[in-house]
Amino acid sequence: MVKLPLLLVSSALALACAAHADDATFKAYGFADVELLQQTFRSDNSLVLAGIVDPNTQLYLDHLNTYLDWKPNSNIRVLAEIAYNPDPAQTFTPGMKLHADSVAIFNDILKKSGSPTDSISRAGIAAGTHQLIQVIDGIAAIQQPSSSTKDHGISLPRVHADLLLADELNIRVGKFLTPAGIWNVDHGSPTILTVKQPYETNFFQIFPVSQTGVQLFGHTPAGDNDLSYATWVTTGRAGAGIASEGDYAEEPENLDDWAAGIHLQADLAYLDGIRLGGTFHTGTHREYADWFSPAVTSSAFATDLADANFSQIDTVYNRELCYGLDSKILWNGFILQGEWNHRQVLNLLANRAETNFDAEYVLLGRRFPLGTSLDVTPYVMFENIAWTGAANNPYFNLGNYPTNGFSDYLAGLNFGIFSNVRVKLEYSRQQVQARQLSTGQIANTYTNNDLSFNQYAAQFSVAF
Amino acid sequence: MNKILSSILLTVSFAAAGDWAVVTSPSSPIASISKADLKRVFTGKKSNLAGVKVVPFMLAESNPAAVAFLQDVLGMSPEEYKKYWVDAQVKGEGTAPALQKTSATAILVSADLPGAIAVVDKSAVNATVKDIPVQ
Repeated sequence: MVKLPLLLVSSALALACAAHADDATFKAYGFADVELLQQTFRSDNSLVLAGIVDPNTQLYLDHLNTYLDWKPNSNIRVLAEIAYNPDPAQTFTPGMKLHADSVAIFNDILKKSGSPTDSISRAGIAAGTHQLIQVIDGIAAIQQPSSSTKDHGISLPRVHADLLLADELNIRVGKFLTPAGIWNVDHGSPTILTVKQPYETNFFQIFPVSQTGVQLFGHTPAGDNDLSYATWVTTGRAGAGIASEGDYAEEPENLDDWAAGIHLQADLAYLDGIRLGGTFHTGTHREYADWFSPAVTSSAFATDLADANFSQIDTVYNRELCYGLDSKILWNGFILQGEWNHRQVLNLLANRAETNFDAEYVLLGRRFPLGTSLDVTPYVMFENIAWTGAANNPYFNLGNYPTNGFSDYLAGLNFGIFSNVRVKLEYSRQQVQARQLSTGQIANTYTNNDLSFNQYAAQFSVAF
Repeated sequence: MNKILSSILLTVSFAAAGDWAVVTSPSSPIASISKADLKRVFTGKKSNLAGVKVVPFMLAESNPAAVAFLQDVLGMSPEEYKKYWVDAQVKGEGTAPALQKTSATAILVSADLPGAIAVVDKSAVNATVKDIPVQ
């Protein structure tokens, strides 16, 4: 699984070592954050009753990411990001907190344990409750840390070598964060304004978070403006489910299994800066089962195997087409940021039947300096995720749930102390959008409050 | 010699506290730089100028020239500039330019480095480096 990135990076390292080490530098830096979390649940919450999520206030270390940044000379750079996650290393525990750089560990364990790949059950939903309640319980559960102190792990969100040829053309090989939109790359707590990242760059990934392969990137000035690009050919995402597996991508079986994409961006020198970007990514995902039919009786099993008729049958075969637009406007202390992302999945085993996911968020904040080394930024954010054609692809297992998506409302304060410490206070409310009956009502007369949950979070983040 | 001395004295007498200059090695092919490119160099978005790899040197914020440079060219306070590089590090875009405590050390390291672009106090500029006009 990890052979390809290691091979690519080691090739680049060999090139680096061969180069003249006239100005070599090595730097280690990173960030860490601690989170205080309180969620409010219905008294009959299925996960609380099952002991899967904790209704009490929790305090836990959420991230400890260390970057190793080596420049053997001015033309080569090797970057590795090593991430600690409060996620499982040994066993699967429902109700664990998931975030972008840890989904891989989670999925890997599911694969090894042979658990079903039902992405909703991954969120730890207990059986026996109404489907709509299951959905909102599941969304709540994925925000919680694991309840077991053993459930921690280390992952590599990226490790790549860059050949820096010119500002306009550089080559990156290895495992890298997909340069899609804004927030997939701005993934660290010192950089992002909110405590919680949008679901679309986290659990509900429209674009794969990271991929393994080759990337070309560069930028060029256009007057006072800047134009930049990144284009990639990779092994794609290994899991085509909602919680995609960015890490440890599968090795491609044939040319069709390769993925490719491009991100274009313009940074305009208007107001205090305007960023406009667009991303496209396509790739396939395939899962298969091996079958063999024995030629003779099992009494001569060795002979049977030699004579057996083996065949490979695709159980999942999807092509995905992902599109995204992003923008950030800075003016007079204001920040207005938004992304719209769309993922179209064609079920190649069912006449290219479509399942579509739409996700967008808008964030508005205003920074107020409170002194030379202190500032505060109040912010609000809205995110919406919706899907159609869920029944066309059983792999997602969304067709049984009487909902087409959910929304997330956030408001918070982000305090900056010096340049490297952030303290954030945040309230958020998640709301499942229930499919309505022909009478205009939703099933079982649930109210909006039944299909939502509130979350209060505080985060202390430091860059080092 | 007298001309050089008088020009230095003239420069010193007219350089107000916080006036900045960018200097490079006299052997550098960099003859001038636009304000937009200067901003790109000090935000890690430009690594080549006049065919050479640039090596930017920033002056410590305790020097008023550094504060003035950040405000004039990047429109940032020293804290905002440090935050910019914290963000860049998290994104994996690189690390901040090397910091020089004084203009004298910045001039010393730039004198023999053709790709150097160092921010210094204007009054400290001497004949061992080339003052790059900012257009």
